[in-house]
Amino acid sequence: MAKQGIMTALILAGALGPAAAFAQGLNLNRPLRFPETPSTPSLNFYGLPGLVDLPSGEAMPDGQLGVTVSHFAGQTRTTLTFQALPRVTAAFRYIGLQDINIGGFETYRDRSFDVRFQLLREGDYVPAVSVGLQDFAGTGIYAAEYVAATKNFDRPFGLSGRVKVTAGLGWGRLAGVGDIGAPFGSDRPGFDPADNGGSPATDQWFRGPAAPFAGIEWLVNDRLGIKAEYSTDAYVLETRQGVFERDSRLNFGIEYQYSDRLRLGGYWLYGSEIGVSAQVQFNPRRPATPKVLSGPRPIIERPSRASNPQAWSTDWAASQASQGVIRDAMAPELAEQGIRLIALSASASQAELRIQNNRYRNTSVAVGRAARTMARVLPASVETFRITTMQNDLPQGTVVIQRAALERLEFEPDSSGQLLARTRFESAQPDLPGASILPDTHPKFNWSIGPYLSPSYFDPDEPIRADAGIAAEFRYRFAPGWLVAGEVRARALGNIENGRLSNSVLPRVRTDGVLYAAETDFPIENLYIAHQWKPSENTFARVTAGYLESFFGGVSAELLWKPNTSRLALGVEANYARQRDFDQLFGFQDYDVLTGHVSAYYELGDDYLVQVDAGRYLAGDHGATFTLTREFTNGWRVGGFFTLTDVSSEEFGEGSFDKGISLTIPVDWLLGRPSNRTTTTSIRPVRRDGGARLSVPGRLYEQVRDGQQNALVESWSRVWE
Amino acid sequence: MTSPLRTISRMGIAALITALLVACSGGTGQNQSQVAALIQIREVIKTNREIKNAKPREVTREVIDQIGQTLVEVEVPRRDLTGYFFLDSVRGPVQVWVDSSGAHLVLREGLVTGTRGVGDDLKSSSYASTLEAIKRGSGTSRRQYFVANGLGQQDQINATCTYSMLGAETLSIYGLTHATRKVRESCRTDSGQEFQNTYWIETSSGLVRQSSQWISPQIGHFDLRILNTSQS
Repeated sequence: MAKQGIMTALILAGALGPAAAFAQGLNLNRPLRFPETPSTPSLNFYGLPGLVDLPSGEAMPDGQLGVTVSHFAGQTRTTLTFQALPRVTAAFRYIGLQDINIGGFETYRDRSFDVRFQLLREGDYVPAVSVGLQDFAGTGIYAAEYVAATKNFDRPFGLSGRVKVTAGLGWGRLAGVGDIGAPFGSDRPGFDPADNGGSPATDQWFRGPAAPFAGIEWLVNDRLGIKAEYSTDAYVLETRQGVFERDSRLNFGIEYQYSDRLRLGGYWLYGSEIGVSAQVQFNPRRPATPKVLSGPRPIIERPSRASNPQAWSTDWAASQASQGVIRDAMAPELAEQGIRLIALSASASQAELRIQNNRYRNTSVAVGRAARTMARVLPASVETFRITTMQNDLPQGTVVIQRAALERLEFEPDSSGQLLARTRFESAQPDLPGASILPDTHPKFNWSIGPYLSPSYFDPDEPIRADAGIAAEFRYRFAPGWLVAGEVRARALGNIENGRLSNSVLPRVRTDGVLYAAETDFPIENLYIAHQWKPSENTFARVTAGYLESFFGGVSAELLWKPNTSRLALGVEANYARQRDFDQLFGFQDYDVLTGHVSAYYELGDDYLVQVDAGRYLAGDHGATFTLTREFTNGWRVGGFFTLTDVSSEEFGEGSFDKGISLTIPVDWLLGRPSNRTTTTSIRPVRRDGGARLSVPGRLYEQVRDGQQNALVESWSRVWE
Repeated sequence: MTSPLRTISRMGIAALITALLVACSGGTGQNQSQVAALIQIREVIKTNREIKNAKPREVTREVIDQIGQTLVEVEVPRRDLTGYFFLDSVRGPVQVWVDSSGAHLVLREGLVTGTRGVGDDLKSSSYASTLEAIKRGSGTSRRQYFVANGLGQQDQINATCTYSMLGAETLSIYGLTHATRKVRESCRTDSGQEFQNTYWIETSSGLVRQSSQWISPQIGHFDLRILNTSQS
C-alpha cells in the first residue's frame, strides 16, 4: 500500500522546480465564458420576463435571481426578482418618478410587489401562459393585472436565432388604451397617493376595462436581441403631470448580452423618449467563483483479524491514559481540516467524538472528515462511530456510522447514498460521560476592529441613507455555554440623522433612528452576557441579559424543542425590554415592555422553511409574523415575511403592516474557498413601529439546525468530500 | 431635495479608509465577525492573483525522470488546463492520485470513477459492466454518473454506451513509445446528450495508457496519459 505524498516528490526532485511547475494544479477557478446555464428570458422595465413595458408568459429558471435598473423620462425602476418556485416569480421594486409633483412630492418614490404564476409551460404546440399581478400591494401607481402567452420559434422563415411572440390581455395600467370592455365588472378604484397602501387591493384585481397587448422579441444570436411591442399603458398620470409626452403606442429596443450575467439595453419609447436598462441575472446554482475544496486524507482499512490479531485487541480500552493519547492524536489532524475536537469518549467497540465545524458550509463535510480521522486513528476493535456536532457549546445532533461501511463504500457508485442507508441520526445527549476533554477549550476570547456600514432604506426624500464608521467588537467565552460580548462604534460620517422625524402614533420603538443617530457618534451597539445549554436531548435553552440591540436593553429567555429527526420545532421566548437613551450609552428611557412569542418552525420539503411567531411585540401590539424562506444547500436563502397585529393600518401608518424580504448570501459562494460565513440583509419597504420584534443576539433555532438530520441529509452528497 | 453626507471632515473619511486597510481581528476562538470575512476576502484576492501569475514550467522527458515517479497527466480541453497527479494511495483495484492543488483523481483500472477538489466534481460512478465492456471492446453497458451540482447536492446521470474496437495504434509519450489497441465508447444519456470516450490499452500490460473520458456536464472530458519514468 504505497503512499507517496507530494513532499516525497519535492525531496526526490531535489528542488522546488518540478513541483512548482504544477503549482496551478487542476484548480478550475477560472469561470467559463457562457457556461451551460439553462437559457433564461430577458427582463422588461419592470424587472420580470417580458418585452419593454409589457410582460410575457415566461418564467426564469427555478431559483434564479434578477436585478434590473431601467430608466426613461425621469422614471427609474429598480427591481429585485426571484423565481421562488418553478412557476412562481416574485418581485420587489423601488421607483423614483422625477418632477411628477403628486402627493406633495416633487419626486415621487414608491415600493411595489409583483407576483406571476405560470399556468402552462411552453410545449411543442402550446405557448407559455402566465397570469400576473403588478404592484398588487402598496399605493398602486403601477397596479395592473394580466394574462400573457409567449411562444418561441427557432429560425423562423430562415432567420437566424429565435423569435418570441407574446400576446396578452391587461387590466389596470395595462388597459390604458384600446380596451375591449370590462369582462369582470367595471368598478375599479383609481390611484390615490394619499392612501397608506400596503394591503393587497383584492377588490380591484381584474376589474375595469381590459385591453389586448402584443410584442415580439428577436434573439438574433446569443448576444443580441431586438424588441418591439404594442403597449397599452397610457401613462395617464405621468402625461397629465407633464413628465413626458406619449406620441405613440409602440416601443422598440435593442439589448446586448455584455457578459453571461449582465444584459444592457437601449430603447425608443412611446415615440418620444429614449430609455436604458441594465439587467443582471444569476442563480445560486452557479457560484461566482467555482467552489474548490482540497481533497481529504484516505481512509485506512483495518488489517484483517487473521493477518494481524494484535491490532484487534481491546486491552487499550481498560486504561484511562489511552483516551488522552487517542484524543491528542486526533486533535491536530482535525484542526488542520478546520474542525475543533471538543470531547472524545472511546470504549472497546464504540467511540463518540464531539466536534465543532469551523470551516465548511455544510456540516456533512465536517462529519465525513471527522469519520475519516476516526478511522485512521482509532484501534481496530472500534466498530461504531458516533459523531456529535456542536455549535457554541450546544450539542446539535449525533450521527452514527459503522466503520465497516466507511471502509467498503468510499469508491462505490452512489457512495454517499449507500452510506446514508447505513447511517443513523439521534438526538444528542447534553453531556458525554467519561469523556476526555481538550484542556484549552475555554476560555476563548475574540476581538475585531474594522469598518461598518449601517444603511437605512426608503426615506421618501432619500432612498438610501447610510452611516459608516469604525466598529470594535469582542466575544469572551469564559466557560462552556457562557458568553460576554459587545460592540462599540465610532461614527465617521453619515446622513441618517438628516432623515425625517417619526410621525408614528404608536410608541416609537423603531422609528426614532434619526434621534439616535443625531445624539451620539460613539454608541454602544450592544453589550450583554448570555448562557445557553441543553436541558435534555430534545430541548435547548438560553438566557441573555444586557444591552441587547441599538434601541433596547433587557433580559431575554428562550426555550426550544427540536428533536434531531423532526421537521417541526417549537419555541417560546419571553423578554423584558426597556428603551435605551438616545445617547446609546448605559442609560434607559422610561418606556418598557414585556414581549414574547410562541414560535413554530417547519422544514417543508427539501428547500423551504415556514415559520410562525405569535405573541406580543415591542409597541405592545399582539399578533403574528409569517415567514417563508427558500433555502439552498449552498447557503443561499431568499425569503419573505409579513406581520399582522391588532394595530390598525391607520395607526401603523404608511405601508399598513410590516413586511419585507430577506436575502442571505454565503460568503464561500463569492470566494470559492470553504467558509461557513453568511451575510444577511433584510429589506422592508417601510419601517414603522407595529409588529416590531426585539432583536436578540443568539436565538437558538439557527444555532441548532445546521447540525441536525434535515440539514445533514440535504447535503449528504458532500460527506465524502 | 437631496441631503449631502454629513461632512465631519476629511479626517472621517481618512479614518474609514485606514480602518479598512488595517482591519484586524484576533483571539483564540473562531471569529464570526464581518471584519473577519473582509479579511478573508482580502487574502483570497491576493492568492488568486498569485495563481494567475504563476507560470507552469514545460514538461519534458528530463523533468519526468528527475521527479522519478509515475505521473498522470490530465488535460481539460474545455477549460484549457493541464494538471499532473502523483499516486497517493492504493486500495485494491482503486488508485487515488493527487495534484499540487489538492485535487484528487480516483482511477479504477484506468477508468475515472471520481474526482475531488476539481470543481463540479464527479462524486462517484458505476464501473463493473463498463470495465468488462472496455476489455472486450464490444457490446453495451449502462453507466451511472453521480455529479455535484452547484447546490451542494448530487445529480444522477444515466447513459447507455456501446463499444467498438478501432484497431492498433502506437503512441509516443514524451519520447517513450507504447503499442496499444484503441477502444471507442459511444454513449447517450437518458436526457439525450451524446459523448464519446476513447481508451488506448497497452498490449503488453493491459494498462489504459491514454484515454479521453467524459467526467460531468460542466467539465466535459479529461484527456489522461500515464507518464512512466524511463526506468520503470
